[in-house]
Amino acid sequence: MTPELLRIVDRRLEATGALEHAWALLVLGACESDESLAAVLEGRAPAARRTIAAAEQQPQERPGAYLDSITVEGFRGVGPKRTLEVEPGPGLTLVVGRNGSGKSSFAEGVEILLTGTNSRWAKRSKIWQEGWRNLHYHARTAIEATFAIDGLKGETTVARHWADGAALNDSQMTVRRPDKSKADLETLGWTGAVEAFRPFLSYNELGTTFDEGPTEFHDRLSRILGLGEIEDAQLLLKRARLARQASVDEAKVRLNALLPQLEAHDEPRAQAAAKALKGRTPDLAAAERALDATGTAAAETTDELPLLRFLAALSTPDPDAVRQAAADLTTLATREAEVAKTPAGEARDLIEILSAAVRHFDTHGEGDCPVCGKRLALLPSWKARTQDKIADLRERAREAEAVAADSRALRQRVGALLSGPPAQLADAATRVNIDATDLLRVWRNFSTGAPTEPAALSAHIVATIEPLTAAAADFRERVRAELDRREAVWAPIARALTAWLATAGEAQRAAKAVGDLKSAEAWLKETSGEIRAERFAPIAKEAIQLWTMFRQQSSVELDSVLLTGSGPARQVKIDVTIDGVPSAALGVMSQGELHAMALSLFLPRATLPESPFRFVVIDDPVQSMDPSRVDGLARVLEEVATQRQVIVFTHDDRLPESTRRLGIDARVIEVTRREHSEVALTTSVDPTSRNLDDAEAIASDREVPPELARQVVPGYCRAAIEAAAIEIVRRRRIRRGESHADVEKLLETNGQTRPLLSLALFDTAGRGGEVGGKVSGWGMWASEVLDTATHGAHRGAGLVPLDELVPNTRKFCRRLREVAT
Amino acid sequence: MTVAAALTARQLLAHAYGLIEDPPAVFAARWPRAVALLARQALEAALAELWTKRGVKIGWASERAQLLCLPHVIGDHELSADTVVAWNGLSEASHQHPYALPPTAGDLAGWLDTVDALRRAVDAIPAIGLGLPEGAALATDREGGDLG
Repeated sequence: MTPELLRIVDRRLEATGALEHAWALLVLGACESDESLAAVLEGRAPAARRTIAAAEQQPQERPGAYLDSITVEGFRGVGPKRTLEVEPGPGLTLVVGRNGSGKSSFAEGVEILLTGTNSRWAKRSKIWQEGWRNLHYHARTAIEATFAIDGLKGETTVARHWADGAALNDSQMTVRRPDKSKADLETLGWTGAVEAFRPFLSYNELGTTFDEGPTEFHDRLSRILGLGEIEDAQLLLKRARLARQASVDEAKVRLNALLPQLEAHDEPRAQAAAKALKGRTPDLAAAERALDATGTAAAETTDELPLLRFLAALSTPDPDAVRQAAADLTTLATREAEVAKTPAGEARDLIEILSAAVRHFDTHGEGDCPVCGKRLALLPSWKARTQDKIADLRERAREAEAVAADSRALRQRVGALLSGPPAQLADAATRVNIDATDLLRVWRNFSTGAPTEPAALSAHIVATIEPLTAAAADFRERVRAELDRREAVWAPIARALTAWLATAGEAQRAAKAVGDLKSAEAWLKETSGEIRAERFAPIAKEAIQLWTMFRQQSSVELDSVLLTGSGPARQVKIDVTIDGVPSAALGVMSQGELHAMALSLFLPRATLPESPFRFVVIDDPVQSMDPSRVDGLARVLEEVATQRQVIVFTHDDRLPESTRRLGIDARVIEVTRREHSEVALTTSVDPTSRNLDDAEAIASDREVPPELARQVVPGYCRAAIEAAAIEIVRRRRIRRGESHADVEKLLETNGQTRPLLSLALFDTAGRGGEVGGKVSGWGMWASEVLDTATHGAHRGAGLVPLDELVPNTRKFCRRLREVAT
Repeated sequence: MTVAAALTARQLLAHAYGLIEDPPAVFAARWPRAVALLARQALEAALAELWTKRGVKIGWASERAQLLCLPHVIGDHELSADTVVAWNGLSEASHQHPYALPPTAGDLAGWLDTVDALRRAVDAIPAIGLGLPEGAALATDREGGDLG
């Protein structure tokens, strides 16, 4: 969108209070570009404000480009390379050539050069599109134009060429600055401008402008006027919204598929996630927590997972420890048998008694035994014997005590091994529905059926540990299988949930964006009419001014042009009054008037000050215009040409004639095409001078055989005299207020030399017989000119030397003008 | 150069074809009117010769009248009709005409071919040698042949 239109949008946003809303930036973004809208949707600021500010700072600083030359080769009607040179500055240039002369090749060439396509060809069928290459010339297909750009010394060249067999829209483009450095349309700032300001208008475009219905006309006009950009912005918003709506919808569909799975799953994580995701706004964070949670944290009471995990980790007595204990029990039994011969307590008592007897002997000396009374039993020899006995007894007692201690420790160890299955096992197994009876049976057999006698106990535990270990392994295996089974069911659901959560976040943001985009769309739709009106106002004003110049004798007065309505009701409202009576415009206007109206609407836009193009190329606007309208056109073009370079291609002499008669400064270039598409370009003046110049050039050219020159030169002289007469008659009668149509009819019916001269000299066609007499009054030379010109056109110059005939004819024409005006 | 010697239809046509095929530089954009003039002159010369051979004193009869007689004299109705079309086109093109631009190369080439066909038809007619009006040279020049 152009900065100017952006600024209007921005102002509207402020005026309607929409700037308070976040979506106002979406409007600006969409109005600017697809990228800018994407930036806003990602939370960045659109560049629109900067663009507007930049445009405001230097509003008309864009360097203007004038066309300097157009070169066409092997394209359409032009075969060998031809260059059309134009004056690179404001002014009017008319390029005149018959239909088929190749003139349109230049007009279309500029358009294709800058746009890559052409309005006339783009919508045509394939057959049309394939005919764009020149039929006679196959060496090369290329279009090149040079431009004079303000502030750049020298010419900027834009060229396009087509490879052999390439399609129309498949060309290579090169752009070179005056210093020969490479550039492109983008760096010249022309890419968007070409579409926005369209400095080309073809007859076709003019012709179809009003052919369609009011809605199509509205669209076409708003496109021509650059207002299609608002629709583009609406479209961008809609597209962004639909894309996001689609991701929201998809997330919803996938959730709807996921929820029943979660709910059906006995996994508590699934339950928690289902609970979080139900309802209008799914709680994504809660679902995420549920997914991440470990089994134990999820739910203490109802959760079977911890039970399963507990059962999976269930430990039974270690067979190695059991076997060690059994071996220890056997060793202990042997030692106990040994120490059992001397009971340790008895030995200790005896030690006490004997120790007391020794102390007694040590205190009281030899004597009788205090216990049994045996005489002189206590002697030093007794003491020695007794002391040995005490030592031996002590040794035995210590061994007995060690065996007792070992026995206690071992019994404790064995007791631990025999502690039996944990109390919860039976209950847990029942709750998770895993059969534990076998395990319980062998385990109880192991622990509770044990004898106390060490050897027997040893044999018992060794015999029963194997079945217990086997049963426990089997049990744990079954528990783990159950755990795996549950995980296997959960895993895909968990994966699906994870994947959904990944997109759901985006979808939730998209859902918010959808709301904003809707608001932006609604605002733009609501205000587009006002934006259009504001943008269109200066153009409508200028269009009315141009129409006023155009209309000449037309009774149709243009009061206002408005783009109204939106959606299916959009239309162009052209208010006209005909002889002061309001009327619907299109129905009552002639084709020529419609073309003039289309031009009135087109020209203001192409010449907007913000356009980088200072040229306007118009292809054949004259067709189907009546002569008075052509005068209007000439005036309009003159007006536009004061500020702009106006290049008009036209198929006959009506517009050049009009500019000559009205004294409008115009450079006329004639295009003629010979066989094999060789096109010649000549700068043209008025037809009288043109014919005289031709006669002179042919007469004085040494290359032309004299008999040929003598044969044709009088014909040019006659045409010069006729042209002078026509010009005099037309100028006089139109100035007098006669209608163009009447004058043209008069000239048509009196096309011969004498009637024309009669009209010029006597203001009537009927006095052809007096022409000779009148002319002879100017001198002998004049009679000779008249005679040679009229007869010589048929028979050649006769005896009259050409180097007299041509200057004398020039004199004749001058005299004719003097006499007749 | 003998200034009075009028060119034959064949010579005029040769010049005309030459201007279309390979014109001197000065004719770059000027050839349409010149070709039209030459073709028109050739047509008139051919008609004059026809009347000469038929021994008809045509005098100052208008060209329109001459053309009306043509089918009865040469018997070829199609050629006569083509000649009328060519004559109209060439007349228009050799006069100054309000707004009209010179005819296209295609138009001119068609008219030239018509005039050439007429010329050959006239050449094929044996002269009966009756009265030679103003164009005496017409009867003396009788090379005929193709002009390409």
